[in-house]
Parts: sequence; structure tokens; C-alpha cells
Amino acid sequence: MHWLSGYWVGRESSMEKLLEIRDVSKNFDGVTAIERLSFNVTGGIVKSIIGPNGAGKTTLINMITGIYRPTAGQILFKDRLLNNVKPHRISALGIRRTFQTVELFENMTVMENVMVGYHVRSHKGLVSCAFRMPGVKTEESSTRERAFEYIRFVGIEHYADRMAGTVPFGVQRLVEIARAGVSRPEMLLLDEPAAGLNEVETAEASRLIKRICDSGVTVILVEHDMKMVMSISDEILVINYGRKIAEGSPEEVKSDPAVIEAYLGKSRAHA
Amino acid sequence: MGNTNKIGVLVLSGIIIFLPFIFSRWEATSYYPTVMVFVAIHCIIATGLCLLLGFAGQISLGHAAFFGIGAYASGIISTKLGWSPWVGMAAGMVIASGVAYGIGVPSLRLRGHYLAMATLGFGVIVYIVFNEFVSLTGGPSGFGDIPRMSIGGLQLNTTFRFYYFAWFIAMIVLILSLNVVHSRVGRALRAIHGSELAATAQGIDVSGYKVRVFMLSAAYGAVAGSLYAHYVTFINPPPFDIFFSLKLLMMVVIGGTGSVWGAFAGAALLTFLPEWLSFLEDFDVLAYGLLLLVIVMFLPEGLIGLVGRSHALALRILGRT
Repeated sequence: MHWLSGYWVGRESSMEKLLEIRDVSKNFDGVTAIERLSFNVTGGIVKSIIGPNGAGKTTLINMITGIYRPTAGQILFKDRLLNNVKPHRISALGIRRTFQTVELFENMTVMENVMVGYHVRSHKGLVSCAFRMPGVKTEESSTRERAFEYIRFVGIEHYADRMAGTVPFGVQRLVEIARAGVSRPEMLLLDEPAAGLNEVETAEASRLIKRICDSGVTVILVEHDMKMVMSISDEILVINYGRKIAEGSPEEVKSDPAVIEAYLGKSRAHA
Repeated sequence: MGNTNKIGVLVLSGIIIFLPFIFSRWEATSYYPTVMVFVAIHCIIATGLCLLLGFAGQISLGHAAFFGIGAYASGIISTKLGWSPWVGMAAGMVIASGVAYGIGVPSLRLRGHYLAMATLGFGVIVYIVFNEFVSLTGGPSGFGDIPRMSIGGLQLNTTFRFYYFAWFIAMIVLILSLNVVHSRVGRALRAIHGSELAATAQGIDVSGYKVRVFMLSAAYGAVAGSLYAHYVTFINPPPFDIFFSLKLLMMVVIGGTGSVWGAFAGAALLTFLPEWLSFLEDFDVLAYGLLLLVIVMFLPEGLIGLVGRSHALALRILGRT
């Protein structure tokens, strides 16, 4: 019942600040990607991060997941400081992500990809596996069950046994989401899940993200497709040049002059 | 381990059991059981290297050194200290995997082929130590009179007996490795091979797993070395040089890196090949090169890929009729 317990923790955590970004900056050799950014993510919502290209959105995701370390400031997840935690540990803490450039294990089937996503919820080590110690078999079959359950939830069961590199691009994006979501993380970071998808696929992905959020997972969405962002976000954070320029509900953000200016340019904004 | 693998293990065990009886019927093949002992020894090391290369995506250019550490540790402990060869074997495994940990932790933390460079240097150093530490290793002339292994009261003093013993160990190594491959750990390793970035995002401790597999492959190498020492009963440095490391890599690549069976196929072929190519004398290196070239160009999945291909072909032919 281990996976269930994780699932329920996810549900209960609709607390005020699941994730807290405090005064975070990131410099790359003198170039400032993120500058003194602060915001919170409430548990149980879809929070979108938008901004023009190069605004620092992916840098932000990479910092939350531990791939980059902040130059200054603090990142707290459930009041725990993440700044110096290794990426794979952050993953095990319940923060999972997808990649803008689909990063599937192409040498494995869709099913196996999703099973790898369940890694943090299983625990048998090298020696136990080599000697088939008690419990290895049950863990393996429960992993398989959970993975297939989630593959069905995402709606890609027809592709389960295909090699991940050979399925259509739209499906590959869904495999990424399934692989990240199968472990029932508390927080899911989606880096442009609609990029490269057509309108129908985007609408499907939007519904899926909504369903994932409804199942108790807090979603941080980085996306350029405004239709998707506006339709499924509870809150939106707008950044430009690494700084926050607006934050609030979709309606508030839509009418914010600073946002319009960043997206459309000064003259149109004042017109 | 799936059904195909179980059938494979049973079939191979059957072949291994009956092979000496078949070989002994003809004069020309009467010494083949001896060659088959070396096949078993090579299978054990190649399997470890296959897990490292094919599943964790790392190259070791110094695996002969682990083979040597196993042989020398086992040889020295049983000959000079007079302890049981089993203790020697265990000591060799511990030393080899300890050394692998020492090399692996710094070099596997970095992305890229740093392990290849580190093991290349390590192999050379170990080879020099075998040659120069005369008081312990006997230097270039080595040392002999290494006691044979025994199980209970049974001395493994004939090729026939040692053949079954070595293959018993090789089959255990095969089964353990197949278990690892078809488990959560094996999946994690293939994930690392597929994309390290994505593997990390799934909560997989990439460098931790690489180090563990490297240690396992070093331990396999030491087991093989110990078998070698107690079978040949004499050791000197040449079998543990860089060229043997390269030959081991060739076994894995020619056999196929995607499957542990490939390591077995490659080890068998490359151990028998020198017997068949002895008329070429020193030019046999060219034959190896040619073989490697052909495999890499036309059969990148290795010899073991032939099994899958012929299976598909058979299905097509059967489907037509």
C-alpha cells in the first residue's frame, strides 16, 4: 500500500505554501537568468509560469529540480531547503518533471519507460535483485500493475509495448507525463507539454493535466500555448528577463498592463 | 527472468553437460574441454563487462587488471599463506570491488568516458606492480605450485572436474546477471544508458548505480582470475595486460552488448578463434579486426542479434507456407 500512502500525502498537502521561492537569483558567467524572484505555489492547484522566450522559465524548473543551483536565495519544498539537495533526491521527495525536448528512454518500451518512473516508489537493490530475495517478485509485479494503471489513466495503453522512440510525437509527450506522474508525486513540473502538438492533441493534454491536478498533484506548467494556460491555470506567474512582472488569476494577468507590454511591446500597450 | 531466458539456461546447461563426452570421441577435439574451461572463465568476466558497457554505458579498458587481482590475490593467499583457495577467491573479490569503488567514485561522478581513461591507466599500473613487486608476485617470471581447489574432499585436479566446476560458477554468474537485468535495477541501468538526464529526473542515483555495476563487474573479473590461477596453477603477468582488456571488450561487442547472452557468445567465439586461426600465427590480429569491423557494420547488435533475426526469418517463412 506504499504507493497509496504517497498518494494521500499528495491530497492532504493543499497547504498554503507547498513550494516557496525566496529571493532566488541565478547567474551564468555574469549573465543574469533569474533575478531576485519570489513566489509561492499553493498545494493542489495548477500554477502556470509564462513569459517571452529567454525569460528564465526553464532555468527556474532546472533550479527547482536541482539540476542548477541558485546563485542566491532559497527554494523550499514543504519548508525543507532544496538548494543543495541532489536532483535524484529531489525527485524522490515528490517533485517530478517532464522535459521540453522529449527525453524518453528510446531503448525501452513505453511500458518500461513508465515503470522506470516508478523507481522512487520501489526499493530493492542490486544484491536483492541478483539473488531474487523475497519481495523482489511482488515489488516487480506491483510496479507493472501501477505502471499499466497509469498508462490507461493517461490513455496510451495501445502503445504500451511499442519502443518509446517509435510512437508518434504526441504520444511521446504523453509518455513523458505518464513516466513523471506514475509515482504520484506531490508536485509535477511540466515544461512546455504542448510544444509540437496540434490543436486536438493540445486540448487532450489540457484535459489530462486537469485530471492529474484533480487526482491531488500540484502542477507547475510552463507553456507558450495561451489557450491551454488560460483554460487550466488557477494562478499564473509572468516573468520577463528573470523578474516577476505579474502574478494572479488568469483574468488578472490578462488585463495587467505590464504583461501586455512584455508580450506585445510598448506602443500597442499604450494604444 | 523471462521464459526465453529460463529455456536458454536449461539448453545451455544441457549442452555444457554433454559437450565433454562429444569432444572426447575425436582425437582432434580431445583438448577442447581445456579450451572450454577458458571459455567459462572468459564468460564470467565478459558478463561483468557487458553489464557495465551494455547496461550502464561505461567502458572499462582495464578489466584484465581485475582478472589479475583475482588471480594474484587467490594465488598468493593460497600458496604463500597456505590458506584455502576459497578464502583467496573471496579476498580477490573484496579487493577488486574495493579498488573499483576507489576508481569509480571520482571518475563516474563526471559525465563522459572518464572511466575508460582511469581504467586504462589503472590497468597499466597494476601490470607494472605485477612485474616489479618481485617479493610478492615473483616478478616477470611469476610463481607456480598454486594449490588446486577442492569441494569437500573432492580435488578439482583434472580438466574434466574443473570443467564442470568452472561452468557451474559461470552459470551462477549468468543467472545472477539475468536476474539483475530483468529487475528494477536492470531497468534503471538501461534508463541511464538511454538518457542520464531523464534517469536522474526519475530519481535514479546515476553515479551510484554506475559505481555499483562497476564494482560488480570487478568482482566477476576477480572470480574468473581466481579460477584461472587454480586451474593453470601458475601465474605470470602477460595474461593480465592491456591487450587482454581489449580482447575482453571485443568479446562483449562482438557477442552483443544488449544482452548478457551476447557476452557468452562473444567469449566462446573469441576463445575458440585462436585455436582455429593458429595457422595465421601473429596475423590473427588482422582476423579479429576484420571480424570486429564486419560485426559493427552489419550486425551492430552483435552475434546474439542473429538469434532474433533468424527467429523473425523463421516466422516469415512459416507464415508464408
